[in-house]
Amino acid sequence: MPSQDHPTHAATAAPIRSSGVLVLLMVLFGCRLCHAGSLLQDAVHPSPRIAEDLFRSQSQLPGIQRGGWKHSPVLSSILPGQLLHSEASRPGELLIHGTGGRNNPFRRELAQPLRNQPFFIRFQLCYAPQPADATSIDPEFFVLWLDRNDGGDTAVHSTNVPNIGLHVADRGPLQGQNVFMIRIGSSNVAWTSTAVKPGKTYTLVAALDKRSTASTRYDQLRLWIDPTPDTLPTPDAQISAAGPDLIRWAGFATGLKTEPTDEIRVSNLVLSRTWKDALDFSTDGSLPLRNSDGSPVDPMLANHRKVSFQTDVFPLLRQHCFDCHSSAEPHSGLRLDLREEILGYSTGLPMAVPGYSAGSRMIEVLREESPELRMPPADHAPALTKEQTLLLAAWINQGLSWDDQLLPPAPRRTSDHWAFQPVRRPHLPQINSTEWVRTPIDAFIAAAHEQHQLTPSAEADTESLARRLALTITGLPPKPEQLATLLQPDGTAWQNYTEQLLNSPHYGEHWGRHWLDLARWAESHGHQHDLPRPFAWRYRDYVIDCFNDDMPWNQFITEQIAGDEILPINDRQLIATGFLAAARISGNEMNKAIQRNEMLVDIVNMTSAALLGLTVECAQCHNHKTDPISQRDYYRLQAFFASGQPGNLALQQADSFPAEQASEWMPKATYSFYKSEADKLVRRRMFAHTPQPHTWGFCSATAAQQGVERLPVVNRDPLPWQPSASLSQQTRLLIRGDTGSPGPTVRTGWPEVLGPLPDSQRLLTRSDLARWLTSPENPLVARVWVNRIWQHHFGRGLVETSSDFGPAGSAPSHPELLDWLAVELMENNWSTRHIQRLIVNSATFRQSAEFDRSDADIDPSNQLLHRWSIRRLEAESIRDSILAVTGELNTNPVLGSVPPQTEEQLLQRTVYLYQRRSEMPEVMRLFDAPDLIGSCSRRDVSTVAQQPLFLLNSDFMQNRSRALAALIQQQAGPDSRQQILAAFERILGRQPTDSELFRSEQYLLKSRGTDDEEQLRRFCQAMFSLNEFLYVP
Amino acid sequence: MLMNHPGNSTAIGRPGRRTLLQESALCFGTLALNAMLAAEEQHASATSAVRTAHHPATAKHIIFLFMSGGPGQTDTFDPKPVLQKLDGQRVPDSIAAQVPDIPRSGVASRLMASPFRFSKHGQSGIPVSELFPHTAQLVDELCLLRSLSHRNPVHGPAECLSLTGTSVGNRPSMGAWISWGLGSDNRNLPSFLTFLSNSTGPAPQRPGWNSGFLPAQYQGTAITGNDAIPWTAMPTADSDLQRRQQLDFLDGMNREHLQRSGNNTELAARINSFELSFRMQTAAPEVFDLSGETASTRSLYGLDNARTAEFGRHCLLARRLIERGVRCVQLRNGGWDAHGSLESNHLARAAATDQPVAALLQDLRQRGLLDDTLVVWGGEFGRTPTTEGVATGRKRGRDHSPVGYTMWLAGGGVQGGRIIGETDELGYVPVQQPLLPADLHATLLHALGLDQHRLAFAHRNRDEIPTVLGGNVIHQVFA
Repeated sequence: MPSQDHPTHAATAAPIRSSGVLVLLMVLFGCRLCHAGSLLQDAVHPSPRIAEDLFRSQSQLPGIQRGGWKHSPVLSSILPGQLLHSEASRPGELLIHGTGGRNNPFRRELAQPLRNQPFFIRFQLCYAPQPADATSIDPEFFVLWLDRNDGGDTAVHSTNVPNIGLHVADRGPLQGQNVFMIRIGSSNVAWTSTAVKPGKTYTLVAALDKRSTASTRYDQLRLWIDPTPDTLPTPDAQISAAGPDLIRWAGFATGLKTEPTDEIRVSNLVLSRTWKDALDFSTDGSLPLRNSDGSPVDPMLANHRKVSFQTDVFPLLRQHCFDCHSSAEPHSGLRLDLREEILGYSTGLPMAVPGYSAGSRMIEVLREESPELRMPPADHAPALTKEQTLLLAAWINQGLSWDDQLLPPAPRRTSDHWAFQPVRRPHLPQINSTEWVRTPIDAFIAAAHEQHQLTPSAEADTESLARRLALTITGLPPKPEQLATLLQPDGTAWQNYTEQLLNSPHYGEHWGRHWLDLARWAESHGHQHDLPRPFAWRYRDYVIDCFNDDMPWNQFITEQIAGDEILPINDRQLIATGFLAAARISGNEMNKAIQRNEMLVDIVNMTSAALLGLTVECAQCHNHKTDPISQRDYYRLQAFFASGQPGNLALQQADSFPAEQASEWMPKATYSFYKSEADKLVRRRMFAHTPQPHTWGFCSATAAQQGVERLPVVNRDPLPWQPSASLSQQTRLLIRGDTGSPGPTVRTGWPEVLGPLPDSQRLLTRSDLARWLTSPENPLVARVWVNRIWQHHFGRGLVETSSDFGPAGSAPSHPELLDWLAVELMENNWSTRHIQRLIVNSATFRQSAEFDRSDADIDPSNQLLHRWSIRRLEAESIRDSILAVTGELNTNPVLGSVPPQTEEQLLQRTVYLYQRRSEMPEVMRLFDAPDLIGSCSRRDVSTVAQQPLFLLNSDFMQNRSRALAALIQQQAGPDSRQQILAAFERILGRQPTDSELFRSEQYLLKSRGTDDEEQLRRFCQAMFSLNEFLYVP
Repeated sequence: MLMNHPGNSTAIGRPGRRTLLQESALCFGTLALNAMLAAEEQHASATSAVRTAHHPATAKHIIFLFMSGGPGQTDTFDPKPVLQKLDGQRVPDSIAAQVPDIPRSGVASRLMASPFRFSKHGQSGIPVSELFPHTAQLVDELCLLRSLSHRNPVHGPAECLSLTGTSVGNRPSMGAWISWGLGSDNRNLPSFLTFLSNSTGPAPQRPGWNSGFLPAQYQGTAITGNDAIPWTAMPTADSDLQRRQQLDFLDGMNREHLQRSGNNTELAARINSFELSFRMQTAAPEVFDLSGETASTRSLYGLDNARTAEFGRHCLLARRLIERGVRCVQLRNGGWDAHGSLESNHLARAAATDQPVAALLQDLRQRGLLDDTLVVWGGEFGRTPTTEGVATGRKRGRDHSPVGYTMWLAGGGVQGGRIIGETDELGYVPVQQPLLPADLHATLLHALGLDQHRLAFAHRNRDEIPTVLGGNVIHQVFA
């Protein structure tokens, strides 16, 4: 039976007013009549509404199916639609700006996909270009699309997809003017015959249906502008073309012609089965709420007497919930004693949605049947009664009233954890053994010794001490002539030697590497293709130079965090941003929101670990379970970096290289892969080789405006750079860390518990972040850095978990010493070398490694430093020490990096070997180099059989041993005893003991006469494999 | 309850219990004894003690035949007669509506019939594609999993997902977990080896055999093409005797140093690692020397045929390693990524691998090793039932499809001749018992006697387990 309401038949049917629910239903649900159950169910709720979005703030909250949609809307991370006038009670508006590119600012998935049902879609639209009084007409593009898939922020919803909106007419009487348009695909277009007036609000109603019931696809689209009930037979535009078979998503799209200054306001979006309902604004907002399984919301929960927070709710919460879920360190990071936390302030995931108890997590867990999942937990307390649960549900339905007297809003979150307290200089402890003290450090160490009745070890012998000093400062053993000076000491020999080491260029090469580990720096993008970053080495050289210049640590941090923001722009600062830019970037992530978020997550996790010594990564998805860091804190940190991204940044003064010169510093296959990928991009006009000097750095849209020039990047599918979008981008907390579930917007800021934010309306920048990091009031940065300095001298920090100063990390062995050193650092112009002098001149550092049974019983793991703990050299020091001993170490400046094909020819320090994440130098992989994915604060020490195989069988080791054998023969002549003495001096920096001399002679003589040179080579190779050589003595 | 794992500790200066080692330092005669004791004591040593399994194991070893690039399920082990009929047509709405919204789902493209015929084999009558005539003869040993499904359509991350449990690439591979959990029965060889054949791209996916946050000794030793274990060949100028003398000298020197350094288990372990490396250097060439294999074995694996020689050698080496007690062997064969010309691509890949795979199964079985050895075959995903792009005729290929694909298991307690899971009529998505890569991981661990929830490694204040994204043992595999 025809009906005026049914879109398929409406155009041809005579208007007959049907009466009776059944008649209507027969038409609407004809195909389902045999299905008595569903008919009955629909008869109870005979709503023709399919879905509606009135752009009210509460309708955007996640939880139950509301308004016919499956989830909350998906907003573009390029430039999302903004909610205006979003009070809970009134319909709001969605404000959309253009980006000058393809953008889908707002999309939403239907609770049930539409397949065979014809339907109407209605929305209101107001188009306001800026400036409004422009005389010339500004061509526009804005549509609502209906598609099977979402497709992401920049998807083009065109092929077979119905579009309804406005567009410049490209022919006809209104050619060149903006008119309303419908289309299915880009070639089947129809325009209305009136131009769109800027500033006027129009009601658009469109019908999508099938011309024939046999058709599997929607194929007819009609549009009415400002319709009245009787204009149904006369649409303003109409087209027929093959459309989609199924519709699951609706969304808005802007395009190339839509500018950032244009305003488009959308409101009252409705999908309906009937013309009458589509035109009826009075029923907007009446669509029943449903639970996630589709069942209607329990009416019991909606009808309850007026509840009182003070007398009904508060006692319940206090008795059943607050034991665990209140105060500063609540279970699972969830607290119920703050209204804003119940509303999801810190996680974006509300525990209760005012007005919607059925969709509220709080009610879900109270009603949970499984005892393990129920709250309160079964092993803790009995379940709430049904009446109590209903009371809480009613409290939520009635608006979640609160009493600020009973439960005041929280002051700024604080913690009494030691590492979050301000750093103050402690007094030097009083001790008895003052003669042992060489620097103030020793007083703190001695105090603990005295307290535990430990006797410090005697001073180490000169040879060990020289070696220890040289290896921990430069990563290389002392030269024989340096050792000779120390063996005949005058008063200043040690001091001179220390200064000589600290001033050597090898100092920066060794200490720079420690920082590169923390910065997870590498010369490639990482992930599957792991394409190279040809000029990433400039940052490595910058780090080495900064250590060699003893750049004040606060300046070093500032340049790395905000180098692109500090005016005037200079090359060094831009190179410094390689710290942030070392984040991995996938080359084949098509979802650009995920690609961008992964990069930002990498930066936040690394920055927090390296500078603050905090493991914030947990808070990406939920409030931190052991540290007082909320999810909101995490995204506030992320907001500092959100408007920028890594890329090739042009430099002004730096050396320029022809593009093909990169082949000299990349591994062969890596370079040819790079070249073929670059060529592909060149053909697509997305890349051009340039001799213009550049670096791999990080810059924000603001910095780009101020003159930092970005050059294109070689990656399979690069992260797009959209400065205009980045500028207006707001960071949103991601619910459960999912880019598809953006929560509330957050402003830039650091974790609340670490200090107050400046009282400013201005958005904080990375320069502000750097200022806070380097302020004397920052409780962590100085402590964390002096602890790392300590770790790299002693092998273990005063805080053993040197990148976890949070409550779950280890406690400091000498808390006062740590603070004293932190203050020393800050008060001495943040000089790293000042701290190192205090350390290496201390009696603590100069102790021997000698084992003493009674001390070991008291302090078995030597936490209190009653002796020196020997430790294995790092990968770089092993290779570099060998090269130093053979005299082959090439100390000429390195151009770029050293690839495997020239490694043997160049023999430069290991820090300069090309660092492709998937293709690390063999010796580094073998001896526990970091994975360069996350920040590495302390390397493992593994003992695997491949290590001896490398030492005894590799070409590298044979070549080195042969070179040393030749050197020794030249120096010591054919006498085996002289050769042994020379080998000991060069390799171990000492004379052999009698038994060692005996062993060595025995061994050398074993093959004497047959192949003297090879036997000497075998001897040298064995000496290089000695534990003594591979350890800091 | 967590495994109390001594291999976890590498701290310096930890007080050792091995005074014996120290006291007998200068006595060469006790060297072998000391080495063995030290190895058993497990202080960061390169070998791993065989630890007690959580429950009785059905397998002691595992061989993962990883077909990188993604073999098409509808062309190999999941025949779809309806697909053959609908060649060139659109995907029917009823099926299209069930295909998840992921990039490159291919649902808008035209269906492509498989160019390959299927026929039933064995007592079980399981149909196998004509691509695999040799494997088909052993179909009664195979348990097909026809309903693997995940959502990552990109090679790198999907390979990480398939072999490490997540797509990020920073977690230990399953091989590393198993090596860490069980150690090896052979102290002279690495507990986990990976062989790479027909590798595509400059950097195949290392995470698939890396150790992530587990200690480095549990990573897979990677061997490309015809290579051997790195650095197992001595300098040409050195003889075995000279190496023995060199090691004895080194050992004496190191022991004097150890004595001066007090109790230091790390130093002791490093001393021991030289003996281990010597044994490995002796054992490895023996394993890699195939001259002792009979002519019939060599021809069984196809070593005499240029097309099968590389993968055949890897399969034969896998058997030899398993025979010697190695815990995990992974054979990664690249190039299955048939975006175009699927027919010739799959023919070439099958020609290189079918005979060796069948030979491996047969050889393991005849030596009584198949009962103890779990063999796994499959890729990081399957391929779409539709064709990709506008190619026609024999140029047609298929795009990646992670939403429904097939793998198989054999040996190691697995009931052969059966099929678990089912995809729809076109082979697009599972309609029965969808399985995650994590379910497969839980199952592999289970077969080896390891409980995914108890195999926990303390890392950065968390007890990390292999199946971090969940996963359930597929018990029907064993029943």
